[in-house]
Amino acid sequence: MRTLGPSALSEPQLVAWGERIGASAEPPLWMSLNGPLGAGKSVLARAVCRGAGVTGHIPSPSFTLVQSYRSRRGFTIHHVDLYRLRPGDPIEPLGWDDLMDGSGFVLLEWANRAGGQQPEDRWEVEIDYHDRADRRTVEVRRLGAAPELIEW
Amino acid sequence: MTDRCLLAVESSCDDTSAAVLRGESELLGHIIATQDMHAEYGGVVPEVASRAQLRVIDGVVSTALAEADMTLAAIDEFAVTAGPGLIGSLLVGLNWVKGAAYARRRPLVGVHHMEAHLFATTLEDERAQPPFVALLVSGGHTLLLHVEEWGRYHLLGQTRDDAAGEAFDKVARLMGLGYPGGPAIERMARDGDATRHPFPVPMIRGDSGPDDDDYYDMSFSGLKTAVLLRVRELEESGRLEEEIPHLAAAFQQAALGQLVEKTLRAVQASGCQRVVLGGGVARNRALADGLGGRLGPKVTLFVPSPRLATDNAAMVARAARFHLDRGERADLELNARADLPMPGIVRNGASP
Repeated sequence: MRTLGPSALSEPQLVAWGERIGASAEPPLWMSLNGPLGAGKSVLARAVCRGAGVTGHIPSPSFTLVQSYRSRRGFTIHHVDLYRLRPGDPIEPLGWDDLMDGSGFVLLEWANRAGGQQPEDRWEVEIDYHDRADRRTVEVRRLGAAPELIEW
Repeated sequence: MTDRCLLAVESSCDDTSAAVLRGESELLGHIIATQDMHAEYGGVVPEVASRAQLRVIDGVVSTALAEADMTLAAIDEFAVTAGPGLIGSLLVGLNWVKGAAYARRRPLVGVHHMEAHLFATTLEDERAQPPFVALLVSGGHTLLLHVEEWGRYHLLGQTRDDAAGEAFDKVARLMGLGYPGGPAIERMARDGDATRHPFPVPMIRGDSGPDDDDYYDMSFSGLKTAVLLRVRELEESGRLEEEIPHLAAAFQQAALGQLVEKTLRAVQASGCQRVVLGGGVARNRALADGLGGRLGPKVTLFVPSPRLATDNAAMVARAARFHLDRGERADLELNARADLPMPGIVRNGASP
């Protein structure tokens, strides 16, 4: 399966899907999350962290750019947010090389600001607003040899 | 003891700052790069550009020393923000200070950025002493603390998603207002009617108590999305532009209302008679006014001046004074950490 959706998901459905990814997707997994402000990228990223057994606060990484967690499944999850970057800003200070070499999960918000500096093998997740205020249009593409997609 | 001179550097985010503090509160020199050396260095230090901080740090420190009419050789002790913040930025200040302390063979201490915010107001008003309730609100942090004494902090609540200042910035962008978002929204809100597009104040269900997780915790992400949905509606009906002031007022009321409500809860539960604000959002007059109006006559509100509310080295120096006086010293192993845990935190301690 190369693609999922587009489907209209409620927030509980989005969260449940994220938790299933966190609990069962095989690392290494790179998830590129794109979509407008407030669409639910962080909601999904947080759900993946929770599903992988991250406890405690999972604050927005908009300020620190990267928040890293140890999952209960034994690997590291990097929650990254490129919101504050502008085109041309250097991304090496984020420890980009470490993320690229990672063996755990990378959850990358505003991924399109990283340009071509992402691995070939990844999931591309698009979240957008839906006509119904309590739904979001979600679409996923699996690129290269990324892990199999998980159904919502 | 008290006439020792301390040099502190803060470089945890976009700004680069240096301060010379004599004793507990005599600020001899204080430079903040984005504000004081803007012209000299040709613009705001860019985000994520620790290289830019590397370029300005020598100048910032030497200007602070010149303002204090001192040389590096006359500095008795050194302090630097060790975290939390952007790791590349932190390392610039940390390595500079480590090098200087080593070269001069002088004591060195690392300071936690948010703990430093707790100390900022004491530089201007020495009554701002524990016990107090602290609300630290900035672009990166939203913390509600009960400061029982210096070095002993009950973490009551924090944001579950976006920081308060981050919410202002993002909502300002949604409305097409400028950056930074806080001042832009505050200005716009003055002409707005907050009742035209009322947003619910987040996280204030009436039946929760101090033992519930959400009693002190805060959230801004849902409010941001609510504003966005309203913006899209208004855009479609072509009324967005005329409604912007009202939207700004309504957002500000809900966002600040949450901060005020949570702070009041902390005051009530702790019995503290002092409240201290800190962080960039503390510059918002509507927050100080809203909080001041609700605290009652027995509680004093301390609000730092804008210069000490935002990131600055003076507060780092003041916090360092406390730690040095307790005998704390860092060695050359001192390192920066993006997620440095705050020292002295007592978790889930709602009451003393």
